[in-house]
Amino acid sequence: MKFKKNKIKNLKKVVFISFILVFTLLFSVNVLAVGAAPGKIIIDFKPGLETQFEINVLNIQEGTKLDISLEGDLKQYANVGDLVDNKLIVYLSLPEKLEKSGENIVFLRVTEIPADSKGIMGVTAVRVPIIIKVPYPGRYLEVDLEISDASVGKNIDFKITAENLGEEPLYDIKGEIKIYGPREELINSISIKDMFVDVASKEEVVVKGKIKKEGDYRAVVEMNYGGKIAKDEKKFKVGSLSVEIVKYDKWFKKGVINPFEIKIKNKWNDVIPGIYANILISSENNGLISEIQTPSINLGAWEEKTIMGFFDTINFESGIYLANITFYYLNQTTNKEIKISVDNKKLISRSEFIYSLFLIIFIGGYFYVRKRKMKLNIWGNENVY
Amino acid sequence: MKIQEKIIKRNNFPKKISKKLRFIVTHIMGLIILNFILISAAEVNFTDSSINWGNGQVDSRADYAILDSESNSVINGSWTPVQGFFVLENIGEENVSLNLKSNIDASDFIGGTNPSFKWKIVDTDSSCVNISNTEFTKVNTTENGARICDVFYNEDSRDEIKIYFKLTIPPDATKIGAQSATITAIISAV
Repeated sequence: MKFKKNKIKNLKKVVFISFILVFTLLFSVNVLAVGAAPGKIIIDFKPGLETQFEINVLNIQEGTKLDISLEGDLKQYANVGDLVDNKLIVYLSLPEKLEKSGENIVFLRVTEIPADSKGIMGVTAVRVPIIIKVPYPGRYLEVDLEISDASVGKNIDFKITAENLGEEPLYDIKGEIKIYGPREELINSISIKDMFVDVASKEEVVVKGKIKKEGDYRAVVEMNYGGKIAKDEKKFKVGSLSVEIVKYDKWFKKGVINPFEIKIKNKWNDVIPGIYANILISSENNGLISEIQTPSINLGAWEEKTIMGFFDTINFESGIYLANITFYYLNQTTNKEIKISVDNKKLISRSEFIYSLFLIIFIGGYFYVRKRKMKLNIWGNENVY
Repeated sequence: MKIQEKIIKRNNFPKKISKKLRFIVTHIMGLIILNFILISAAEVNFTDSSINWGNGQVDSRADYAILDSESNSVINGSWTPVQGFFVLENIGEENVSLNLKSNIDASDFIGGTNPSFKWKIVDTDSSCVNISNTEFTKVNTTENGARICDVFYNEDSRDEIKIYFKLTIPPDATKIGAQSATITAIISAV
């Protein structure tokens, strides 16, 4: 027992010495960064193609060492030269045939090697995808739909890109966009003008639309090319310039300075700067008693944040009060009147009350059924008791 | 309201200008160097990255100590509590995917019985699409690390995430002397 205690004591000494050293330097971090331009390269496959690309490596500080490598299934067909004047040359020498149709990717990876290896270092690595597009046999169309979140009544651009990834040109491509509403109901159907897409090329078309109600929507584009269908879909939001009050504090302790937290959501498809709230506390008997103003915050598009003011209840009696919350932003307001409780006991909300009631009924029901079962067992089966 | 708006715009001004200047300069350079081929860069940067708990030891009789940079706490240990995080910013012109890897796991970094070395990603500006590791998660030491964001935006209002760290140190930790760990942010243009 004594031997074990000494062993533990010695171990703790070792640990003590270790961690004095370890954490002196732990988490003191050098700031490093690496980038690459272009960030992505896309080429079409051609049998036996030999080509090369120049990639600029950005943000290399003096003395920074780099680890440069190639990754991916096709890396045997690629080589990378030495870094000269912050530039790398990648050489591609493709075979006559590639088995996999579609996108084949070789990554050029550039990773910083930290010069000083003490403590924790945050370093960066960039992987430049070199995408080799191999045609699909026969006819093959790929379609991509791009939509940005939008605002009520404003133009929405539905950008459709149709790319011929097959071996034959595609004529008379017919397309349609269907827009579904928040309850998956079909809102609108828009035809796209007929398109022609040559081999290894792409065509873009922008269809404009407007939506009158805010909500979450889904757009589906279908392109018909001689009986075959290429399809893509995207979700998007349509919002209005408003701030929604999502959640708020309802119970405050008497005789102290309480935080008054209100969670709000930006329903607009852009940043709303300088949002703040003014809260008027009143009672039925005495009218306006107190006024709280919160600091201002910025809310990003569709963002939720909690804003906080301070509610001094030192001169308050226990009871129920009215809080009139008004948010001010970009010459607009959002208002809500709520009941709050100042007490040393927490006010039970309606939902909490319903849950409690449900729980009591459930527990009561359980014991009632159990009691009935026991009675049945006593009178119905002599072997049980 | 107008004054507040002006202050906000002024605060964003240097960042926006620097990003736009960088964009213009990169493109002009690209035009000259690459013979009129426009280029756009994939680039991220670690900023605001300094956390130092100082010296410390595991309390006697304690099963382990916990050092948490998010909650500003040290439990069962004599290190100084600090609140700190790494900030990773997308400073390029491309939206990128983001992976995070560590070159070392808890057993090699701390050692002993059941140590842990975890990170947590916080995205306050909706900079990430399909974010992961939003609770404290063991660091990932695989070649390409853990996928953190499918898309890490490069827009001025949403282009950064924070990374917090949490260590669990057992009393029988075996690593002696100053240890090091490298956290690598791996990006790829999407």
